[in-house]
Amino acid sequence: MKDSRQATELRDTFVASIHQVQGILHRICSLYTWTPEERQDLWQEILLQLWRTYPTFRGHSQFSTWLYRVALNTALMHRRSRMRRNPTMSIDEIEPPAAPENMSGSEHGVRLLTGSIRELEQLDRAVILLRLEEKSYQEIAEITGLSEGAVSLRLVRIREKLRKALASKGYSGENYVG
Amino acid sequence: MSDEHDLQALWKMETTDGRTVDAVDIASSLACHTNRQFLTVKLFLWIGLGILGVTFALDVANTFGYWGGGAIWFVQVGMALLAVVFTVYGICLLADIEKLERADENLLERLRRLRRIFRRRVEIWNLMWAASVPLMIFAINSAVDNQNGHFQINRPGLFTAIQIASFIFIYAVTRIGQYPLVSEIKILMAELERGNGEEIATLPARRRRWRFWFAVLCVVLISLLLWAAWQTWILAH
Repeated sequence: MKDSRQATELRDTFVASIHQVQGILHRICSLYTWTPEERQDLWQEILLQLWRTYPTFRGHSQFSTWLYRVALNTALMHRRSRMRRNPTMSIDEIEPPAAPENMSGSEHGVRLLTGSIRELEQLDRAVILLRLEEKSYQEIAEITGLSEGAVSLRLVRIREKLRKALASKGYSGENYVG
Repeated sequence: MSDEHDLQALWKMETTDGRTVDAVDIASSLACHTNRQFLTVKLFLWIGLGILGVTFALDVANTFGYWGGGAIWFVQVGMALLAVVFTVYGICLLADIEKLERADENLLERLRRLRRIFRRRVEIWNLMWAASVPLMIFAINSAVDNQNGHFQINRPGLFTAIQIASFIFIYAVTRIGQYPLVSEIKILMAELERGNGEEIATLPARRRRWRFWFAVLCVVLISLLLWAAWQTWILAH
């Protein structure tokens, strides 16, 4: 009886915590998948993985560090599901971007940014995502296992790549941001 | 657009509207099941550990049975020790895979663990597991012979050939059985380590190759079964 009450409490706490941070998880899903179906699959997989490891999370690290670690590790391995189902996804199967004329400038900018991040290597994608989520270099280092120096160097390289990618797509930040 | 602040400002505009789910949906999602990621390797591990457990128990019994029996006693002790070493290795590997499944390590540590497990430790375990079946058969034979009074290898050449053949056969079965998982993991690791995504394109060809070898294996297994049934029938009549 007591165990069942504890289990229910644990589940309720977990659900409430996830409900609060679901935006982070949705953003991770959108950076590591290409279609809505894949995104749904990954969302489900991350939730289950978080729930599976939640009882072993005992506050040795911050909740957000644990959350990012599990979610990103699951996202990196989720690639296996796609490899199995469809190793060489054709361009037709990738979710088409909405036409720029139907979007506001900032929406268009976000789409281009998301698209450019998706083109990065998997670990770079994780590093820039964490930085965009305003994580400190120390937190990024804890989540990825890179040293703070390596995080800093990698970010310089990634920002440069993003700048070039956005410029090649005709995006200039001044038009939309600020 | 190179300024980090601009990128962060842009990123903040990324909304999750339309994708937001309520607490009830999150709770109901937890009732779903998903496949364990490393099921094939774990399956081979559990079977191997079971076989080693049986081997160890028989070897311990045999060391008492052949007490004072000279060389065969030392062979039984050696085999029991080998079974213990293999079992400990298998349990450590299983624990490592469990850690991998929890996915709560930092990204690079997990990648290192993946590399350690799938580039080295699984390969070593496959050899151990392939050796464990001949070990168990030998332990069973020794136990039966002990019941009959003495241990004797009637045809040493044939005995050695069968042991080697069973080792090779089991190793091949294991490699073929694990191939889809191990090759996917290795491709994934190559992509994560070197940003090399080109190997993914080779996956369909690899799968076709795997299906071919799997079919060959099935034919060999069925032929062996039919041959064994035929031999049994001849002996019975």
